[in-house]
Amino acid sequence: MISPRYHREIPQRYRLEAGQCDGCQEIHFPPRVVCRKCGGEEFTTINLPSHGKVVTHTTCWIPPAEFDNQKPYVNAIVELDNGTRLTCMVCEAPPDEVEVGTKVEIVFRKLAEDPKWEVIKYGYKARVIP
Amino acid sequence: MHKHGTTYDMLCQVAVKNHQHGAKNPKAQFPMEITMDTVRNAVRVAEPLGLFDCSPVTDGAAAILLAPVEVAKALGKPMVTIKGSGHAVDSIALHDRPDPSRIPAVGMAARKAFEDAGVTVRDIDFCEVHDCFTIAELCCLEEIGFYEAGQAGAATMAGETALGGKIPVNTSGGLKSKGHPVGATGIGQLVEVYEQLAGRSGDRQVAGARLGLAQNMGGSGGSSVVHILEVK
Repeated sequence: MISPRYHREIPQRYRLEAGQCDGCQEIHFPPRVVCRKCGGEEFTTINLPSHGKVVTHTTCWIPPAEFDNQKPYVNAIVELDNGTRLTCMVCEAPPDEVEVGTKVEIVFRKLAEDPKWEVIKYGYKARVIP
Repeated sequence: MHKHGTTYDMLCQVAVKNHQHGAKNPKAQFPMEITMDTVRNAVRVAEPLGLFDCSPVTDGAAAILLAPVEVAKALGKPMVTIKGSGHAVDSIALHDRPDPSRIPAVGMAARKAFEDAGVTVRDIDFCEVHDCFTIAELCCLEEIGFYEAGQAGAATMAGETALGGKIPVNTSGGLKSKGHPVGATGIGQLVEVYEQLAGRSGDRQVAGARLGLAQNMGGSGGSSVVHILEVK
C-alpha cells in the first residue's frame, strides 16, 4: 500500500472511526462518502465498540508476500457488539482456538512491513478473549 | 460447511468432476483426471481450500460473433440466440453481506435472466458456472436455483452435476480445469454453451441440449451476469 493512502486511513485503522449517516443512522466502516442505505452524504464520526465475536474464519497458509512471516494466521469476519462487521487477522491464538462465535477484542497491532514501499503498517487485529 | 453440513469431500468432488470434463476438452489448460486424494493431499491455501480447490491463473482468449438474426441465418452456421440476460451487483466487502454462505448477486442475476427468457430453472439442460473455487460452484448452483441452500454438495456427490447427470455443470472443465483467463472467462463460458447447443462438443456432448445457461461473476460475487442461450 502506498504511503498517502495509508496516511489517509489512519483514523479508521488506529481508532476504529466509522461514519454514521445523519439521515438513517446506518453505520459505515470504513467510512464512506455516500450512504449505501439512503444515499445521504452527511455523516457523524463515531468510535466502534472494541468487543465482538467471530462470524466466520479461515486459516491462511499461502499469504501475500508482506504477511509471509506470520503464516499460518487466521483471517476472520468479526461482528462487533453494535452489529458492525469488519475483516481482520486474529492474533495471539493458535488457529484451532478460533471458532464461529469465539469472543474477541479489537486491538492495535503491527500488521506488516511492506518490503516494496518500506512502510511499517499498523492497524487492528482481533485478540481472542480467554 | 458450518451452516449446512457441507463436507470437504463434496468440495473435492467438484474438482474431480470438473477435471473429468476438462479431460475431454482439447482446449483445457489442465486436461488431466484427478482423484479425491489429489485434492485432499494438495497444499493448503486458505482452509478448508487447498491448491486443487482453486482455479488456476491462465493466459487465454475467447471470442463470439454477435449478428442480427437475418445475417446469422445467411452464414449457414449453427445459430444460437440469447434468450435472456440478467446482471446484479452487491457490496464488494464480504463482511457487508448478511450471510457469508450466500452470493445474492448471482441469484438476483439469474432471476432476471429467467424472467427475461420466460423459462424456469427446470427448463435448463446444462450450465457453465463460475467455479473460481470449488465452494463457489456449489454456492452458484444454489443461488441460481438448481438446488436448495446447502443441497448442491450432496447432489454433486451423487453425480447429478456430471456429464450424463440431471444437470451437467461445467462441461468445459470449468475455470478449474479448462482454465481461468480472467477477462476472457465469461466469453469462454458462452463459447462452451454455443458448442454444446450446436452439437459440436464431441466426447463431452450433452445429448439433446436445447437450452444452456452461463453464469459469471467478479469481486467475490460483487457483480454477476447470467445468460440463457437457446439453439434455433
